[in-house]
Amino acid sequence: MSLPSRFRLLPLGALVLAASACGSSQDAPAREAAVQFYSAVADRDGAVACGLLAPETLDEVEQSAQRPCPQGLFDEGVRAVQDPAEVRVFGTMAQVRYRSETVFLTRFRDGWKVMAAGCTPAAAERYDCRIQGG
Amino acid sequence: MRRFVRESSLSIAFGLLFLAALAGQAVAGWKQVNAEQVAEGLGTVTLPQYLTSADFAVDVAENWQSEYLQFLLYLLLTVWLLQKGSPESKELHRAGRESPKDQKIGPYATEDSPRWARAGGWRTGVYSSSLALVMAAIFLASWLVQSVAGWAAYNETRLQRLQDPVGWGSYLVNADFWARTLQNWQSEFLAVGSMAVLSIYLRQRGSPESKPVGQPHHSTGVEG
Repeated sequence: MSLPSRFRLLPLGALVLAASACGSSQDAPAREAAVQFYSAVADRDGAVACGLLAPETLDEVEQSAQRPCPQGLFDEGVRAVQDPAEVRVFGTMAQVRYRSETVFLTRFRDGWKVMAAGCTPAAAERYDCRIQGG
Repeated sequence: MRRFVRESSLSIAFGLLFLAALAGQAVAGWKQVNAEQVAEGLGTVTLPQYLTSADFAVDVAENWQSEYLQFLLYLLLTVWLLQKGSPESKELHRAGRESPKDQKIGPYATEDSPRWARAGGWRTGVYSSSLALVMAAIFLASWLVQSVAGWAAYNETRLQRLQDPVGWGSYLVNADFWARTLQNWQSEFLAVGSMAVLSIYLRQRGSPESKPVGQPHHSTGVEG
């Protein structure tokens, strides 16, 4: 016997609620933003790389380097890495892990931006990053 | 139609209140999330994005699971446990599942009893606990949704703090999951307990949840 029509949406509703927790549909865009950022770093294209930074991260780079971001970015020791090994997305945040370091991204209306890069594990379960916003 | 509305006015009223409160929660929660995002220098989300987010899902599910747990425990415990003077309790001599005659099942069912109450066997057995079974199913399903959505929302916060996300299994023993769960449970249990006790001494004329105004305090299991 099939469910009365008014009950058929209940299981779907529960699944939608659960599925909303999953960020798998954003894995590719987050990964692509990280790849574009590090490609720009590899090409020494500071303008493109800085265009992929979150606003607060860009401000932090310029304050720390005391230079405009396209030049200051490389003063902070950001270096190019390749071949992202793992992408984890939860809501508006993403973590892309490379062999030697990790990058954290956050989603804005106009796409994914790098919030922190050049990150390596530090104390208290946190990462220590070469550049980070906030 | 008018008759339907009159005879279903209780469920209609609470249905409308639920929808209004859910809509209000959606808007208020969306604004709250965006205020936090802006304060952290992060991007804002649209209302449709918020409605499909883990934040909204966990806020809804954590409340649903505790409500249905409350009803489940209330249904089961009032079978055996008593509260002298409370209209929420059975009379003091009637603790337990009661006789088939009292419950109008099997040979004691009437012509207009529900079909499975008349059927006997496993059907009557299942139907006899159908309310608790459905409450339990909804409780478990919404608790599961809370755990998944809560795990995702918690990990989003961890990433904002430049911390690694945790697995779902780890989240089930995490303080965030149990804080959300228990903060809801305590209020539900308090509400039911309060109702059971306050209704011994206080009255609400006309409500079936209250004893009649002039009913003695020691009267148990009497509703208005």
